[in-house]
Amino acid sequence: MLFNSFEFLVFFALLLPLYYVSGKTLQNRILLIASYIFYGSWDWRFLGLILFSTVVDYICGKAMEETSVSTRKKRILYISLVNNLGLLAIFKYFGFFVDSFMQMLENIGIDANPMVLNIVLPVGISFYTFQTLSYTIDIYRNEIKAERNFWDFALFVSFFPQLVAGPIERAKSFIPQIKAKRTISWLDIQTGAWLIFFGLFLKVFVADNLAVIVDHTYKSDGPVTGSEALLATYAFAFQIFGDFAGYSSIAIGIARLMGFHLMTNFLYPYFVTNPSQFWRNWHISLSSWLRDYLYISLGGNRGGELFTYRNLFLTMLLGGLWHGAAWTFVLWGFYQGSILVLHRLYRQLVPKPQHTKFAGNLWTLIKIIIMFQFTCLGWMIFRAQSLDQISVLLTSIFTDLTTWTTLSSYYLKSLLFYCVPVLVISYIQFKKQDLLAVAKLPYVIKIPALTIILFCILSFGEFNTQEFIYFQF
Amino acid sequence: MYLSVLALVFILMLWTLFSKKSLALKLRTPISVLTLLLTLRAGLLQNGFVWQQYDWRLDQDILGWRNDDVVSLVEQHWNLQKPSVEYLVVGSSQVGAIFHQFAHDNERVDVFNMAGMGPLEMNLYIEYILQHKPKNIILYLSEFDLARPPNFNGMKIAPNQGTALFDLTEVVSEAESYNNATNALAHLTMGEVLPEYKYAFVFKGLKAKYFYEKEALRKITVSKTSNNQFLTRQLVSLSKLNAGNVQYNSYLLEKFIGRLSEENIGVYIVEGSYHPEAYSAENMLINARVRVWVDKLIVKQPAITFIQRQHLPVLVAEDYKDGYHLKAESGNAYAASIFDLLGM
Repeated sequence: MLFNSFEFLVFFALLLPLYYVSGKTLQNRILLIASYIFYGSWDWRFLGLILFSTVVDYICGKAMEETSVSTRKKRILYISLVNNLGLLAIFKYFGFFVDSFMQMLENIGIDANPMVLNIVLPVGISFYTFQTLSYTIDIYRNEIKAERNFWDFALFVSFFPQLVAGPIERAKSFIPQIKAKRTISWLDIQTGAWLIFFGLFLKVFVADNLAVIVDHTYKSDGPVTGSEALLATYAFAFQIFGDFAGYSSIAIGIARLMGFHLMTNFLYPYFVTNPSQFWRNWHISLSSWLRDYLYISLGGNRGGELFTYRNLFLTMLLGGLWHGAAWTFVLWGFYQGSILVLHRLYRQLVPKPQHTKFAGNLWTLIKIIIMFQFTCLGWMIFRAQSLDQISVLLTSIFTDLTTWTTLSSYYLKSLLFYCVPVLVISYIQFKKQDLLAVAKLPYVIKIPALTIILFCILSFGEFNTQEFIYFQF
Repeated sequence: MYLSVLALVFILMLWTLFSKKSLALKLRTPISVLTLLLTLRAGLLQNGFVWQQYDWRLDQDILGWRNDDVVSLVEQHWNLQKPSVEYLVVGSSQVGAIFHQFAHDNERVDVFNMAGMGPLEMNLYIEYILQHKPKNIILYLSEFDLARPPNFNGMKIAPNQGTALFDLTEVVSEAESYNNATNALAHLTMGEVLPEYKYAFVFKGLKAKYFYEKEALRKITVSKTSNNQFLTRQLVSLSKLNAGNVQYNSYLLEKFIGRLSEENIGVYIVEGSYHPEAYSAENMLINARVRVWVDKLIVKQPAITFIQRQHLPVLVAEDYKDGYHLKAESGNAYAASIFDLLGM
């Protein structure tokens, strides 16, 4: 049940009035049932998995709180870790590791019988396992109390707006919202509606239309010129932003309509000047999760520079692998780790220059453009079908960039058509440092802007229910 | 009607702008956006001039056959030339291939055709058909039309149904063996209130024409097939006619003819033909089933005239430009012989 489908429209239209007329406890139960219906609509067998994960972490949480013996507490934490990471390993990575192992044996001349296991990847497993992991780790660290009410805990794990593609919520901010009486103000409704509206624009107008260009290049076996490869990669940068930020925006908007405040997941990530800023603005719920539960657990920056570099590398490598079971994601994680380390080195070696205001602004613009190229190189690795394809595309960009074809021209026009509105909106948000900035523009600008966005959604949107990219993670 | 809605919304907008009431303040943005959207709609969709432009500027190469025909029909709806007509021939592109030239040369005849038009579309486009004020309607039908599955995907771009939307829920509930029917009704309903969504293909078509190079689009879409491959593909599709569709299509056709009778419009059913190489034993069995249905229909509605295939000139492979459509000269001669039989 995708957010941009009729099924979801009907589902939400039935749910919302029922939710509004109910009291708090009943609201929570309704939401829990709705969340299981939502999740089961993909495949009812997935429900068993999420229930299992919920029960184990609920018991672990309570057991950890009830013990004062630190070794026992640690042991319980390990059970939760093994359970959650074990589920991920089986459902997400098992096939990948078996395939890679077989490939390695084949490369050294051993003819191994391939082991075929068709394991279906449950939608959103990476998201809710990380969410429940944060819960047990926080209890272990004495940062939160264990949740006593099983049904409320189950709702924390399965809350449908963010269940399958985040934002990855934290128990310390979300469970109190489940427990509290909800008051839904007009501002909540306005904000929620705007976030859903803008998210839909990002998804159906930007992402799904750009998918045509991206797929044509990245799924093609034929020759690709440098300009085509470069423009398709730029298109992917906006496709993945539109797709994922669009999903997050709709998710946050839907939750807001029901009185919940989810964490911001994207903050104009293409207006940043360096990799570390990028990770503070892109998929914030994941990057902050990795920082709090992996980077800091590894020691963070407390053990000297080399130690910090190692931790950065490891964090990003695992972050890359979180995105998917493929060598391209491992390489992408390695690449992200490398540019973070290089940027840290650069900051230490090159002193911050003193500029006039104009020169300062110009330098910022140049840095944004350079950083965007680095980001796009990352996206190429991320999107490529194989390591070979990365080398083919990079070669064509560096050796054949000036060949301009009718396809390049089509790509460029499409890019301008679909991306300029997003860039303008993102720029306004960036300048005002406010994701709701467009909705707060003066009346004479806001009304035409909103009408154009609505017209673009209706007239140019792709409603053929293309899946959200991050569902596969 | 549209202008009165626009005027009403405009007055509402003025109220939200000048009233200090909290409800007015809350509704100011949505009502203003709605007013501007309706104004934009008036300019881009709600007048004959723009549809004339769309029809002129867009072609089937960009839009595809069905969408291109829909643009022509909407244009015709806004700028209808003939106020009434004696004979209106209704049907798929087969009808266009046979009757267009004949209708062009004959004042008393007009054609209402659309690529792939079947009984479902006849019901969906009935108001457009009645707008021609026909005295008689000629339906050129065969197992080719009745044994094909109804194209529910095309429902989204059908004209606004208004209160007939409630009738369509019955049509959809009868279509229990077609799993995309309910979804199609949902799209149609959404298009009813949001014509920008319904006619999105027009705007996408304009973008395709003026934004992208045709060569680039061709590189992306499939390469053109040869005439022979095209014919083979059509013959294969004709060999896959499914008798299971006859029942539902007959139900739709009866519904359509019932409405025509209510409007006192005479109905002629001319048994259609297709490429002789596709007359298989299976198709003849379906043909027999269609004839039984027509016989039963005539018992219920004796005013219907049925002209069987064998009373018309025999068509040979050379008369066809592909599997379904006659060549222009053959079509014109065939149309003339049909109207001879009708005593025109």
